[in-house]
Amino acid sequence: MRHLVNLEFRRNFSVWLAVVAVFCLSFPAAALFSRYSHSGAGVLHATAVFWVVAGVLVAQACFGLTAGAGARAEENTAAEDILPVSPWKRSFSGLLVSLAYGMTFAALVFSGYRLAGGHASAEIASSWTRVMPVLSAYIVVLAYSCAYFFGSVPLGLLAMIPPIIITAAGMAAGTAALFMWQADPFSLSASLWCFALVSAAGFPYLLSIRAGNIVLSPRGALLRNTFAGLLLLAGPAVLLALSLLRVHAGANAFRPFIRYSHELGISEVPGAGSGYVFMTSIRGALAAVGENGEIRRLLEPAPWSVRSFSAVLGNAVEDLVALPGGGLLVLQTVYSGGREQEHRIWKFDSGWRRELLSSFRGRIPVRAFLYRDGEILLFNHSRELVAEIPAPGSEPQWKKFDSGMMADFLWKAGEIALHEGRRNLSYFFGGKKRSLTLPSAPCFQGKRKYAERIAGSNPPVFRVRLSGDNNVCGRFYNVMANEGGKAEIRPAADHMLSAATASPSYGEMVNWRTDSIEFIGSDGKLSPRLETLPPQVIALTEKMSIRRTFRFPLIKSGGLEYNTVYSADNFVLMKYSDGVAEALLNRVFLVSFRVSDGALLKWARLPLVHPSGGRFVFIVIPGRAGAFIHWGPRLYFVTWEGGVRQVDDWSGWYFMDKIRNPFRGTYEYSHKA
Amino acid sequence: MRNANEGMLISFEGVKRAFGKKQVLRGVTGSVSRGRVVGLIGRNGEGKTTLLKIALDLLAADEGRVSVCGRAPDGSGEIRQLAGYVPERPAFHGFMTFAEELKLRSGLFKNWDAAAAAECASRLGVDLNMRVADANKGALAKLAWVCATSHRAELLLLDEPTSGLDALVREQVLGELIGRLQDEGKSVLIANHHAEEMGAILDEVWVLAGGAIAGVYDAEHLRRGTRMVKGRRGKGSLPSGVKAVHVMEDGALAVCAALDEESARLVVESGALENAEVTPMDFSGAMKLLLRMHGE
Repeated sequence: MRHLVNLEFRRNFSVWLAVVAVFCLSFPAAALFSRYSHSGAGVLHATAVFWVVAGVLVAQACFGLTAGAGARAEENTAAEDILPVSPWKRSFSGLLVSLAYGMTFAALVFSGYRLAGGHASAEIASSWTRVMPVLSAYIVVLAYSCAYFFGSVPLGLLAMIPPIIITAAGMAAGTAALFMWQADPFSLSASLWCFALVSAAGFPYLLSIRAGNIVLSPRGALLRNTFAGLLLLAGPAVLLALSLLRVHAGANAFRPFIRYSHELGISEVPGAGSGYVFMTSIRGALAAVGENGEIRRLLEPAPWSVRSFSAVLGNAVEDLVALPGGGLLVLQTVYSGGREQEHRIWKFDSGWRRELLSSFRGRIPVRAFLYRDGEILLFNHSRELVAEIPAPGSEPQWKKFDSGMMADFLWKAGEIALHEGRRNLSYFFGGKKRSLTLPSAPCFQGKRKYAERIAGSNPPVFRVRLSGDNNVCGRFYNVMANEGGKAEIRPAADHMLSAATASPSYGEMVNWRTDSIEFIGSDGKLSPRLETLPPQVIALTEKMSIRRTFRFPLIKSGGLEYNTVYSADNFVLMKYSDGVAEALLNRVFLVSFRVSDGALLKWARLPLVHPSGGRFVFIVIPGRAGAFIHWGPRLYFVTWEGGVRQVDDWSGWYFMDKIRNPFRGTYEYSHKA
Repeated sequence: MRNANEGMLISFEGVKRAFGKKQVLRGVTGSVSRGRVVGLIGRNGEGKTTLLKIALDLLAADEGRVSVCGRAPDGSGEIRQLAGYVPERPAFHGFMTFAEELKLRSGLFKNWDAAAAAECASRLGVDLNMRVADANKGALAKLAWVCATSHRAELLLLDEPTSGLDALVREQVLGELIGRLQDEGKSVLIANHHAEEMGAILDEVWVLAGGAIAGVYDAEHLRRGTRMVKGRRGKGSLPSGVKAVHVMEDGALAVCAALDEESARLVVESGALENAEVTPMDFSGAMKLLLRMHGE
């Protein structure tokens, strides 16, 4: 068998090597291309998504090639016929080799995807793991059946009809599900996609038929083996039919081609101070959930719209801004079909009454805004902004992004001014304008900058990011102003994946270089540096049989999402005030300890339900009397005293939509930060 | 009770095989005992290659029983451990060298004799560093010979084994190589159109005609006993039952081939040829005689 496996490896090595080489070269090429793109990250992300999509098809085709003996030219077949091994051993060695190749390729694809980042990776990965085994098993068994059971082309063709129909129906169902609400389902790109899919699926069949004709001819016995072959086909065919023929499941099967903008998220609005969190659903619904359990529906959900295979976009709440003195501004995108989207700006007062401030249509996604004193800045994906809210129905006058304008607006907003091309950072503190100069950085001359004042910090604490034209090269600074108006600058990282930041929610700052953590108080002061949890807390974890270690920091990063840096999963700071840290251990143990001497002040085990199965979001959002904890399908409110109230539970249902979750009852959320 | 085929290295009993509607083998029966060299002749399309492939377990018989070295073909390929095979068109992996092909076989054949392979390759002048893709037809044929004879097979099945070999190598292969195999007590079943090459080495000749073994002849007799009768066309005709056929008629001249002296005498006495002259016939002529006898 070893010799046969070697033979198989050598036989198809060049094909696989070519695929892998193209794959490996595509990322440097994409990185190069990204330098000339508006969205460098987008190019890498698109490349990664393409390879995930293409990976499925390539793997299918290669399974057909290798396992189905399709690559066996007649010469090779004749060369092996006279060897003293059975066709079954030959086919089994082909199977082993194709699996090895397939797994290697899949590993490469996902490694590449992970390296390239992309917040949808988890969804795509899970879709891959769901779809690929079924499809692969189907293709492999099909190929084998053809190669070793059906010895004639006519019979092979006959046997191919049911699976082809099944696959075509599944594809049609999936495609219909995807394009059901699209105004232009027969666009060129959609047609090409469908054609590519059908072709890719048909390719292994054709190979198999050819392989069947070549390989099987030496030992016919067609009728005897046809029945066995059909039996072999039946299993995966039924599986695939069950999976694909349901419309929703069909869409699910196509999830590798889909990047969800967001599904269900919780949006915290810094400074709202209203004791609410704002929740959005995939269908664009918005609700305010109060600490007392009150749920206010602010925007109703709408049916999904599908934009393309690369983006499923329903109505979306793009951004929220809290108004001084209460109330909320909401930027909503309404997908009514076609290429243009409608953008609406809603204003909610403190009594949650809403008013439509603006409504306009456009092809370029509008994603965020800044607001101050009746002035508003809207940003779109083309690096354009508009400074005045257009009246409902009128077109906004987009202007190319002007850094001076941006800085000016930020200045007026009392936040921070970070000047284009310079290292000056200006801010207000104590009624006076302060400024400081950031350290030089290789990417400093780049165009993209980001500065944010951490909510509630006084003296102000800023998170500053400088980067080049793409998101790959970037620098982060944590800038803390003190009462004297001088700032302390902490370079967080030289690399985006290791970027440390001060989270506005948790107020912790991870120093990945020193493996330590510091907490930031609302007064802007840093706690003493902690390299690990205090001994009393560790003793508690041992007592409670918490097996995870609590070494700081265990950083998770969302790849290109530069601002998603967390400390360890099992440690979440909820509040740091007056030298006392309130934190969650293992998500369910609420502990309070004094940082200076490590004294454990109190602890409680919260009665939170661990979601079963799937990959769940876990978000802590500090409020007034406690903190919201969004864990899987449930939302809790935990008071600082350790009391727990379940605010909502949408297990089995989409939040507010009350639509049966089509995705087999699983929940995959992505947090819209 | 002992099986009639016991001791036979290869035996066929009523073997039938069809391809689609075309019935190629209609009931082949025959056996080869140890140490015998058997020639299998037949016209194109009579099923010689099919019969050899069935013996090698490359094709399944539709009906009948086959035994090779005491084993029945079962699809496992084990029979190919016991029998060497030189196909009409040898095929190897284009991406390998000759040495790699031998190495592959050394891992797959239980009784692979690397020394014998090296010696045979040397004897035939095979360059083991040559890539299969670059090899000419003759080199591939030589490699096929090396592969077929290096795993200590008791039985050799040769399908047009000299195809592609030049005259010198052909003589070397047939005269020396097969002779040595014969001396070692190995059995050989050869399908070959070039019958004259086999004259000296065959023990027995099978004629495959009409999908069955139409005749089995002692090779020694064919070498010595066949006669050619030449003369003017007479008024008589060949008597029925005589083992002779007209092989040529050109105007008044006629030539008959007879399988033995008695048949030649009957031809002369029948008056089918006048002024007949009887001469010994070479082995090639004898093969043609057999093909014509069983083809008509």
